[in-house]
Amino acid sequence: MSATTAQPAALPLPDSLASQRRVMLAYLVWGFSALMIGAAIGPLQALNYGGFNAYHWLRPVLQTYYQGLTIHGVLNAYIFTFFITCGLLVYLPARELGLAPNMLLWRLCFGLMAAGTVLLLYAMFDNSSSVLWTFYPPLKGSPWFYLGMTLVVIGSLLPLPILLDLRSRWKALRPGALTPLVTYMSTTTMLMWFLAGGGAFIELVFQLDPWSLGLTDTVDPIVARTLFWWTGHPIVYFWLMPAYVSWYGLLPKQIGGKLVSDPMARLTFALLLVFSLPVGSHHQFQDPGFSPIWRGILTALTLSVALPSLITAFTIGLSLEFTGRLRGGRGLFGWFTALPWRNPSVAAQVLAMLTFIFGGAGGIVNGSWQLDNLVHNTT
Amino acid sequence: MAVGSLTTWSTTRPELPGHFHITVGTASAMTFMGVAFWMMPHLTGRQLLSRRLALASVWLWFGGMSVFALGMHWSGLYGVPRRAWVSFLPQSVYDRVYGDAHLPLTLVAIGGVVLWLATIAFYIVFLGSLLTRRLPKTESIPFAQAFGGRESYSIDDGETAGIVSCHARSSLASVLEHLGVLTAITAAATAAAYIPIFWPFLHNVTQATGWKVW
Repeated sequence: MSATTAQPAALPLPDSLASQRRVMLAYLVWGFSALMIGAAIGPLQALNYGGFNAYHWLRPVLQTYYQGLTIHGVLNAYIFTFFITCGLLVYLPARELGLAPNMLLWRLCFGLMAAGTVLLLYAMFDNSSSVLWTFYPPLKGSPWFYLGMTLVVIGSLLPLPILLDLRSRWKALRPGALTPLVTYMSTTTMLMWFLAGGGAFIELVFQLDPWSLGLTDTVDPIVARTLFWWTGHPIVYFWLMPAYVSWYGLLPKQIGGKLVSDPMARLTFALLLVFSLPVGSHHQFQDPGFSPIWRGILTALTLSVALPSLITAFTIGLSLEFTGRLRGGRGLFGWFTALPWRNPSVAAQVLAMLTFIFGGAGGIVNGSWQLDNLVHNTT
Repeated sequence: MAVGSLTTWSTTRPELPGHFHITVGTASAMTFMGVAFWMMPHLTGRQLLSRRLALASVWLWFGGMSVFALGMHWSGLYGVPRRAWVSFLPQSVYDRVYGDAHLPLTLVAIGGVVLWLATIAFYIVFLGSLLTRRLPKTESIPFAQAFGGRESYSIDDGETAGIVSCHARSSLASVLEHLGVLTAITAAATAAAYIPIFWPFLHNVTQATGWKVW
């Protein structure tokens, strides 16, 4: 090894590959920096519930609990997740297919979302826009908040044309071939998000931007809420599907095994695409204008979204068990403890799956008609 | 008393934040943290700062978030409101209103403090890994292979594995290849769901002026 260190350590990379890595690193660092601020504020909210008001001591930086909660929600739920997803879901397919993505669009995506982040940070830290992450009107923040959010939404839609271009270039060389799995999952995720993003886009561009800029005097809150939930429910799958990309497309290799079924992974993503979209208004059972018939339909549709996650639980579960038994695991749970727990990347993802069992089960409970009425409004 | 306040606060309770902290806040966030652990060395050519500290951060995140979410779900059953600055209340009032939920609310706070430790551990690893020494060989992307025909290939690290067409073609996968059709079906279902919802709104316009309540 000492002999090789005389050479530059890393292998020389082609220019296009090196620039893809730099852009991906920028997405990763920007996204995790947002989470760093958001996660640092999070425990203040937890202490609030324990009866300890830490906001007394944070006066010049944070004025109120609601300001802290807004920053926590916006940075963690939008900025962190969007940057990681818009980075990974272009970089991984491009590397899988061995093609260069459209770097201009990918950099534009980063630039729009980064500019949006800066506007949002300004609007939130000056305490002009403590409207929480749902930014429900008639709560009214500063124009910078809504303009920043608009840039973030527009930027987050740009990976779709990049992926469609990659996929069609790859398929043009191989007529009749099936799209490789990671590219398939990434494209499906972005198609879902393209259809989902319409609600937030219309709400921001036609309602909240002109209203906050003073071009209109009033806003229709029920229309805004409905548009918000058109996007706001499917957004949970925009958070989840990139994690599934890693669970299906990468983790089996990381633990030293194989994915037990490729078609089941595709079916999961196709079902998520179809079922994610029409269910958003289950967040509005307390709002006027939703008949019992609609509530029934929305409840049934909401519960159907559990199906692809159950497919995932069994497909990934079996992939883990297969590998655990290869590694010498015996008995009912021996395969689980035999997984490579010393690898932090594996431990993080398997623990993430464990919590998702409880999260998914709780989601089904919260989605039931009776409980939805109690817990589901405003998210 | 707890039952009384349950109806009072019926629109908004902490089960949902409890729920989404173990979904997006752990299932997604911790998967992304796990991805960062291999991807940082892959992108920068530098080694991960500390495997042990990385492991500690994810176990602390898992433990902290589990305790936090248990407290959130549980306190919701007592009718504690969500998104409320409850600690702003005078101590005597806080105790009178939320005394019954004292244990779950304490769990929420404890979970939060553990998460602070997890966050610190994670960012020491994440940011520290930008400055560690260079690896002799770059880590490649762990693309998985599947049973059956369809496989993903890594063509990273300068070595081209080549992409071969699928041997055992699944009919399900072939049907699902028509992403345009799937998207059109989804768009139609979305329109079918939302047009009847929006229609009455367009005929009963509400005009609200802005509020600033903070």
